[in-house]
Amino acid sequence: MDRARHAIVHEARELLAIMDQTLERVAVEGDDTGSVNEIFRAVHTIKGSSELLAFERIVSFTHLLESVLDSVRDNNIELAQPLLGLLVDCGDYIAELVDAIAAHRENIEPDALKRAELESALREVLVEYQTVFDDVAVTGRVSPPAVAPSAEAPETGGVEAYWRIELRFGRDMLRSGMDPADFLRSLASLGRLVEVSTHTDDLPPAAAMDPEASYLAFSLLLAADCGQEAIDSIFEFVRDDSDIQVRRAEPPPSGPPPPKNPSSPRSAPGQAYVKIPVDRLDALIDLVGELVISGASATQVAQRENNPLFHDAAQSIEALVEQVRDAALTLRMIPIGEVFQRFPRVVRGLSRQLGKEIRLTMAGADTELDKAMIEKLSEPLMHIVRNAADHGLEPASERLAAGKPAAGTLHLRAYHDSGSIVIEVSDDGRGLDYAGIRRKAVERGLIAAADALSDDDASRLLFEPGFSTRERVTRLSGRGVGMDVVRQRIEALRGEVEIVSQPGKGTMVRLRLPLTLAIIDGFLVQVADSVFVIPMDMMVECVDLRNHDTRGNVVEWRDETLAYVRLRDIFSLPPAHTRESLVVVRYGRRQRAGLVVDKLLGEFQTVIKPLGILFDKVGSLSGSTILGDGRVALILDVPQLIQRAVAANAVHAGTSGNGDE
Amino acid sequence: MSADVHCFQPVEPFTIFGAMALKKRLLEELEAHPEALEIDLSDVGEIDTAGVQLLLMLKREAVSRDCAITFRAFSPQVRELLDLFGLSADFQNEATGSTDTSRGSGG
Repeated sequence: MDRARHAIVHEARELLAIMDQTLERVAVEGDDTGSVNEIFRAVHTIKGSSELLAFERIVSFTHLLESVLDSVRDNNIELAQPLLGLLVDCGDYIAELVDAIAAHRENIEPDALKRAELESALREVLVEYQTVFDDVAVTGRVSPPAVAPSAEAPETGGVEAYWRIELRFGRDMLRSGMDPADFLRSLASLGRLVEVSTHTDDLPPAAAMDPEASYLAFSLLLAADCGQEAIDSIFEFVRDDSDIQVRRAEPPPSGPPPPKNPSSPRSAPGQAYVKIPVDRLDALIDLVGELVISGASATQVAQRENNPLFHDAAQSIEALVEQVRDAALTLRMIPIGEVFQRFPRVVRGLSRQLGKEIRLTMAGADTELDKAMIEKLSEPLMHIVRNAADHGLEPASERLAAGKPAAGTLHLRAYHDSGSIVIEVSDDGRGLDYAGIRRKAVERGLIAAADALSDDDASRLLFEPGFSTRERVTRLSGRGVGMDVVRQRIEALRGEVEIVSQPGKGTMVRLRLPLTLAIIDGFLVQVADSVFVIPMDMMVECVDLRNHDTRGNVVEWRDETLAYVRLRDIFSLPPAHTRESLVVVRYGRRQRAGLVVDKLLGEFQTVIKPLGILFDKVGSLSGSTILGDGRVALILDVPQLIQRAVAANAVHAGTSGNGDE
Repeated sequence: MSADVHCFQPVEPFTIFGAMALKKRLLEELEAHPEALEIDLSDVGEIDTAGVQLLLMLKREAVSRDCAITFRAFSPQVRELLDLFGLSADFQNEATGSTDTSRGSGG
């Protein structure tokens, strides 16, 4: 049953995206003959699939919408405002209904008020256009906006069992990286959570409350077609520290019976695609990761053996493993258009809200990147776009006075650049107010009044947490609203953000991200007995430190003064007995710094294993990996490390780093 | 949503990772606005159980201090989790917390 549900949700979301795009196209380019048909088909298919599983709320809504579209089509009515806006809103509401299905809450109307509004607007349209269409068929079958959740349940197949589950998790649950919510979600995925009550009795008063402790307890009633083992297995790892009780229960007396079991959902005829659940893909990629590691260790053994045949075989296996890895990773690649397609609407909304005319252009929507990244990107991007519309673009009057067109332009662009993906959000607004930034930086004591502040450094200040907080609360204009959060998110994805701005001409925020989160090309270095990995794309050069003056935590390198850090100091490793080397790394686009290590071990393809929550506070590490010989190597979080170095250097030398061109 | 009620609109994730700082922050807001406080959750992109606990704590603390606290404009993530826990009603005020369009500038 669950698979059918997923299939329907997935299909409906795809269709809604098509509907959205079509409406968007009509809004921009005007109506063409095919548009109504396309939208009609989307709505019709959603309705058809929903009928299979008896999702009544969506069926009745799409039915009414379908009638309107039908009537529009039959009467050759042109798609234009306000009808267009209504259709967009209806699409949005269907999306909410679909979300409810995805969350197993299809028996609850997401927003009864909104539904009633939309339905009455739709009926008005119908009355207006109604000529050929038989109205009785419409009003006769449309159910009123249902508020009571138990109103219309279909007759049941009755094969499901009911389970009463009591959960009281250990206090350290959250701290050890587990979220009670995930257990509820896992249970919900087995069937349907008929009842959830959350007990908050254990929550102490504010003063005594430890925000990292887990206080909530839950009583659940689950309807699921599964055995007790399936439920028990969810709690396998927390059973020791938690109080978990699972027992069979009677079905609730008046609760809505489960929807009837459908025959399998219709498979799309003649499709060249196979739909694969994401978790299977992830499992495959995990395995490939293990394969890469084992492959590397086999290659090492082969290199030690003096056997040319073995050596050749190992080499061809390695080449194949590489291909398998690349192929596996491309499976998870999807075009960034999935994120971009939401922006036309977001921008239209912003435009309305801010009273500014905004034109949005996009390029490179077919640029691909890892699905896991796409999900995490959409929020920071949204933030940046909102910022650009709100603070970057001037009001029309100001624009006209500056000799610019009244409508502001936002441009979204994505492209691949040497192993990374670059996403740019640019506006043609007023640009950054460098003088204002400087003033505020002095006010906050971030720089001294006499200090020089390059434009680059000024842009970087915008990402400082302290810099934006006050602005956000008081809503002063000016950039910096939550940009620190954007930076955090992007850096968590091993990416970088920078702002480039020309006063009066506009501002561009540029994100640079790795293509995947699963594997990086790394460079191995050794300090004492520990091995560290530096991501290859951060490396600039390796330098022998013998002939360099290393006093004062800076070193001369190609006419630059580089700040450097000794990894041994940071990780408290024993003192050096060998000659040290300097690895020059870059962070940001132009800034460089040095890391001092004992030995350079060479390139290594690295499968990233996340570090546990324990390491979260370390801050200078972004993950770990297993070497061919079975040892663990830690992956350095270079930007974090360098920030420390620069901060330390600024204290010593009183300069603001080395960010000049 | 009257103009004189201070509206706090957190943008940081409501998760275990920032829970310490967030608790402090929320209580500071409460301290600074002892009569009435509005929490706008439309920009909260991530929330976990730790985040929900903080919301519960804040609400209780506000009630015990006689501060009129309102929660509004749940982001989809907040809404999803409160729904999952069956706690949505606890954070609903007289107006239903509609998610979009209500995020005008608070001034």
